[in-house]
Amino acid sequence: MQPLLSVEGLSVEAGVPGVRGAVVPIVTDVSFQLHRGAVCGLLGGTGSGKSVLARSLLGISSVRPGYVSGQAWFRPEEGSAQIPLFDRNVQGPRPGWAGYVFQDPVAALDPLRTVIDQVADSVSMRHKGLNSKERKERARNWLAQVRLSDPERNGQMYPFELSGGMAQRVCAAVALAAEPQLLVADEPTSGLDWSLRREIVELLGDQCNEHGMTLLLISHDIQVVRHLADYVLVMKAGKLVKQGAFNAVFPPPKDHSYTGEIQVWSDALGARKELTPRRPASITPRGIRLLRARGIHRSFPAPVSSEPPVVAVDRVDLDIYAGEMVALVGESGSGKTTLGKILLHILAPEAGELGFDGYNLRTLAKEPLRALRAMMQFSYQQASGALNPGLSISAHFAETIALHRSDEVDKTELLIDEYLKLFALEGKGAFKPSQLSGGERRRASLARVILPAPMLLVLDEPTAGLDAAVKRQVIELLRGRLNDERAVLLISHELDLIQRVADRVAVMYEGRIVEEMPAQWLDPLSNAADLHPYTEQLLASSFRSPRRLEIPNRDTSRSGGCPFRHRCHRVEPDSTQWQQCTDSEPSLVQPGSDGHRIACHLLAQADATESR
Amino acid sequence: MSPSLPNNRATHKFDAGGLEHRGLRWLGLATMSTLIALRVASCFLEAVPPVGFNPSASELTPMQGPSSSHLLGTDQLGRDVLVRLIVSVEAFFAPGIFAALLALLFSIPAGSLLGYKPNGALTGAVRFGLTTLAAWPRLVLVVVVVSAFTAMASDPAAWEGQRLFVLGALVGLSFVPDLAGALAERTRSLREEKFIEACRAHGIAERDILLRHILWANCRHLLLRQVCLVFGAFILVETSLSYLGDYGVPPPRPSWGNMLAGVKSSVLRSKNLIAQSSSEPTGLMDGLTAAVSDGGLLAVACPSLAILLSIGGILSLAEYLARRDEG
Repeated sequence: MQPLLSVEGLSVEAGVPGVRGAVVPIVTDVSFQLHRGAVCGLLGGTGSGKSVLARSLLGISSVRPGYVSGQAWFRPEEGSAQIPLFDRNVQGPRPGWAGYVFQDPVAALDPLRTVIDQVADSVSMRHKGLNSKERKERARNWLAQVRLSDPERNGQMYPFELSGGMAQRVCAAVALAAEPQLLVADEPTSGLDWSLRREIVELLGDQCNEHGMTLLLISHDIQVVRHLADYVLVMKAGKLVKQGAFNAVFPPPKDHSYTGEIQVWSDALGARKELTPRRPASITPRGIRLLRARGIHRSFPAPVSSEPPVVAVDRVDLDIYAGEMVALVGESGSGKTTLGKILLHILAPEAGELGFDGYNLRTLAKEPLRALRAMMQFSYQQASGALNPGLSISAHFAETIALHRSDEVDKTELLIDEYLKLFALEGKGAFKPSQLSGGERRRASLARVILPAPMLLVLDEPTAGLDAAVKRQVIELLRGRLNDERAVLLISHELDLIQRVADRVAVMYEGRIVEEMPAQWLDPLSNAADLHPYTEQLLASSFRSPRRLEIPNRDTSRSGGCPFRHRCHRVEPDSTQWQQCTDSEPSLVQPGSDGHRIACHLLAQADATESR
Repeated sequence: MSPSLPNNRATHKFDAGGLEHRGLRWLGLATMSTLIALRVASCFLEAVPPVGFNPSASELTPMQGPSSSHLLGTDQLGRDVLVRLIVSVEAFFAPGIFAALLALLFSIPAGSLLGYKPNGALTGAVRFGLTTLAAWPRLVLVVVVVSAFTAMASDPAAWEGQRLFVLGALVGLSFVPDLAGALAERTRSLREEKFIEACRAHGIAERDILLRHILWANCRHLLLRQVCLVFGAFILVETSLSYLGDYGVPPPRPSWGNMLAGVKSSVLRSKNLIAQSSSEPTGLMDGLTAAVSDGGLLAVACPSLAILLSIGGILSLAEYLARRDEG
């Protein structure tokens, strides 16, 4: 294979704000080659200089010219066009040789122009002298290529009217329409919902393959890179520490003990290509029932006051027993966080019963409820927002001790030190939240909710935005705290994590719990035909899953019926089954004795015939 | 992004902003400590009545230049400028602090009520009261009330002593709407923050959320800054009124304001004298030159500079606190 791009000794330095002449190296002496038509992954943690490297090559860096050294050539074998690297004396390859897909798709698009016009601009960059009709036609073609639903209608939209997934497709179309030879995708999925990651990454891979483009995929997520890339570059603190074929750089580990991400790699590397039957499992409550919720309902006023309120949580029944870890999964906006807050009565439900440890939370007076909070704690998703910016970490802990462990107040100092040590925050007690790193803040906020030793702990995305090592630390801490008297409700969309650590999982879709099952069943590698179609789609969105589902996007303006029917891949709109799905809403039924509960007409029926 | 820096490169953050930041702090703290030191010193000078006269000196020489017995010279009546300058601090020190404390006393409950419970039952009444108070022009309020008190005073001697505190109370009260407004605005925005909801979910009582998490942790610099502003404003009001006469510090007790007023009248007098003795038209500058040539330059410059420096220093402390607050 011929190299498309050759980089030698590229270094980038940035000035330090306010200090004349002082510079900080961001990229140091990086050399590599990209082969034509290959998919190359650029891996590295936050701040390792991945984006700066790629942007300097494409000349879109914010780094001031003069701070870039080294050389780079485009197609070095033939004609050898040197890449300017901000050097004005170098002519550089023909414009449009490279395209860039940004992390935040909505911010990367022009908010004042329709998306089809923006794609048409890229088309005219490549094909001069087309009239506007031809340009639009080709642009529409590209929008269809990136599988934007209804390109005719959605093409006329403005970027802010699109969902994140749609906007990222448009961004890809804008980059692809110029038909570049190199496409750089900079964290193309990190701004998107988890269930869309695989689809977008595969879309980019397919398009590059089809049009013979080279793809440079920048990501901090090894799963994303592993999924597509045959060649991988690993950056750390501005230096290229490893490069080579993926399997050579990340050999499958021999040790199969559970260690977070490492296990995931080994699973991915040994990916089985067919689904296996599921292991039998059942839900067997170990301890007493801590929490009982029946018919929980909550809606929020619509942004436009004339519209009906938006229902966030819709008639949810849930029990949580002592000693178990229950997981709540579902895409963003499915009402997971709202439900978690309602269960602890941080938000009041509009209807339903809510009992915790024998108390009726809905009728409990303010003061007894506040006292009860020692036993039920909620960990917020944004750790920085959950801590007071004006108080130190120790002050937070001291307050909690005085409040919830008042009999140990004389040991406050000791307890603070113990928890700082437990959460690897030694010496950070006097720091304010803004002086800590993201991972430290997360651990501090977790320590604060674990300090009262709650019976029920609700964790909202405790691992979001953490890198693998910190994630592992956090999970091991949580596992270590769980015993037969306590329960954890884990709100997350990381299926791999849930499968490993949770006992039971409840799947939410549009405010409803559509399925409740043992967490082991959440296995992307196993057959999911007897699970809810939404659960199957969630599993298929995992990078580890060998299955690929065609997810329909039907327009169902009629309300009522099964809320999932417009995305269900198991029914066709004209079949006899469709009638039932449109007419009545399935209720959560328990088809067997293993504790599995499901809200789907198809499966309830199948089970009914079996039992007959 | 936190790139590792090689040792030979500058690693510390040092920019113009930081320099200015530290400058403000030092100027502010130096001013405050100087004022405190002067107030303490004035306790010892008080023993020499009437202020600035040296009874042991056989003669009083007006408008004298600096000498070993009068380090900053003498004023139009031959009193020691340095002594009067120092004793003047008494005129605003305690009343100014009184004004600031009074402003705090009223504005903390009012501001936190307005900000934390914007729809409460009492809130409307408090808001009405603050708006009414804010509608009065500060100086007019002071002049009206002080003259009313003066007219009603049964014991003029006792009233003289209380006058500055009444002045302080009025300045303090007139600042309550500003302070309460600033505090209410801050409290209102903090109330919507995620961490307040997290505090509630954590089981912290409303009272502790307001007192510790909002007022103590996130508003104390704001309040300290407002205290500085009130104190600075009181110095300005006191010196202005003393300069104008009637409403401020009555002579012979010194204030930077009436020291300036005294020098002014002496300057005008000498200007008239010059005008009478020569046929050429003269201006104020000639009078000033004449007065200054007598050694009165210091008598003019010292109180002016004192006002300028102390208000400037206090405002820079306030500015420093504001910046620190913003992070």
